[in-house]
Amino acid sequence: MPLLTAYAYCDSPVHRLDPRPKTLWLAGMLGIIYSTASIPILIGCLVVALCVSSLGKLSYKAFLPVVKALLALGAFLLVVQTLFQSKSPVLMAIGPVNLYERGLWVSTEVTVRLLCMAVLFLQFLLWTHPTDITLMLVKFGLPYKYAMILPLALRFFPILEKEMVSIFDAQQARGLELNSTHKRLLRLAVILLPFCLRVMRRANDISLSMELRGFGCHPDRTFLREIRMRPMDYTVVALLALMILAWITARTLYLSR
Amino acid sequence: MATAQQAFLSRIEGQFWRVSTKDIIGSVLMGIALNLVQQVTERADAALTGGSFIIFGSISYMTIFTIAAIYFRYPGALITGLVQAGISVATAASPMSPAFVWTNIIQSFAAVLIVWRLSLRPWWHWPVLTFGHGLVGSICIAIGLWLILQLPANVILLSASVTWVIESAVSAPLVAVIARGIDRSGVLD
Repeated sequence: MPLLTAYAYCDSPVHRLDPRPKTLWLAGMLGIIYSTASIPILIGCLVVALCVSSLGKLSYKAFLPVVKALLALGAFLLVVQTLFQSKSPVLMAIGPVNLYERGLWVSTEVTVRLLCMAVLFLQFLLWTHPTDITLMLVKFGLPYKYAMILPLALRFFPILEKEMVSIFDAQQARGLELNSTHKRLLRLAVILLPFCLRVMRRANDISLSMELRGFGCHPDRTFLREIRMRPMDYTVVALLALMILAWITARTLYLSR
Repeated sequence: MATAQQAFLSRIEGQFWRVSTKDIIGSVLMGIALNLVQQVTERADAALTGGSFIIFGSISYMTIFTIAAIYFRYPGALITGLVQAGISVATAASPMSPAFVWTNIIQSFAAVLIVWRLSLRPWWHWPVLTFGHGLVGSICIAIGLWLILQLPANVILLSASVTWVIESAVSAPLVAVIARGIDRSGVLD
């Protein structure tokens, strides 16, 4: 299953928004989840993010690969943290090994926070057109040569993913055993060299074809698409600004870490 | 005898900035490649140590990132690092993903600074390069371990030092072999 799901247009209120309010939502929510250690607040943020996803008509299936990987990660974090957080009361003892209480809370906090972060980033990628991201970065004053980096990365991620799979297949066809993670780790070198070579060759081809089309010839360029803030976008920005302000006030006055 | 490697490296020797289209595109693609390889290695680290010891992830990271620093210099190495960190955060590949953002920004500068001063002809230049910017990266990751995983100081010190030594020692010959392979292939000429 592909790790990064690509943008697909859907007629929803969120899809119709300018990329700037979407970026503010992402930044605001990331600010909240990284400024609190409270597990109920983090779970609340996750629920809110998922509700907003359904408002944007996003399928929950898109989040499944990341959620599965994170749940497995969370289980291992739980084991490691309960073993290492030795400056807290003992939760339970298994033979000579003590498991510490703080580890339970830290691992839950880190896992829920990671889950929030993954949902928020995937949301952003799923409901923001890659060209809109470029246009937004250009509006923020970034030269277009650098503004197209993120859309380019999103465009080529699935292509390089397929190339890596084909390298694995080609090496296996030559008799190399790569059918488990353990074997893939030990034989990383035989994958890395052909993969780096393919990447370099592809970079050569792409840059040549881009330069032949005049890329980088002028300091500025025009775009077929345009982004414009409309009344709805201003309303969303104002609401998000209020939400962030309310969080900062609540954090300062009532909530302690 | 002047090898292709010497010819190519001497052509870019002493360069800190390289901002051609090929460098920018190449660094973006290297960032994606780095991420794809790390999907295997970081998950293995997370499965083995819960993300507190990033050994295999660091080896693959150091290898590809150093290649990017050697061939694309600055800001290519920074772009590779940021693409890797961005995708890592978006796919929640590791609990340490947010720390990769500041680590890659600082480490890319350190790596290119060291590459800029080295000819990479004597064999010992490769370990100097990997141990040098690996140290900077390990310090940044140690800060991440403290802030994100909230591990005790002794565990952080052990994790950072073990990771630094292993990643630098293993990636130095790997980088040398891959760089030689890239130059012999003539793909950059």
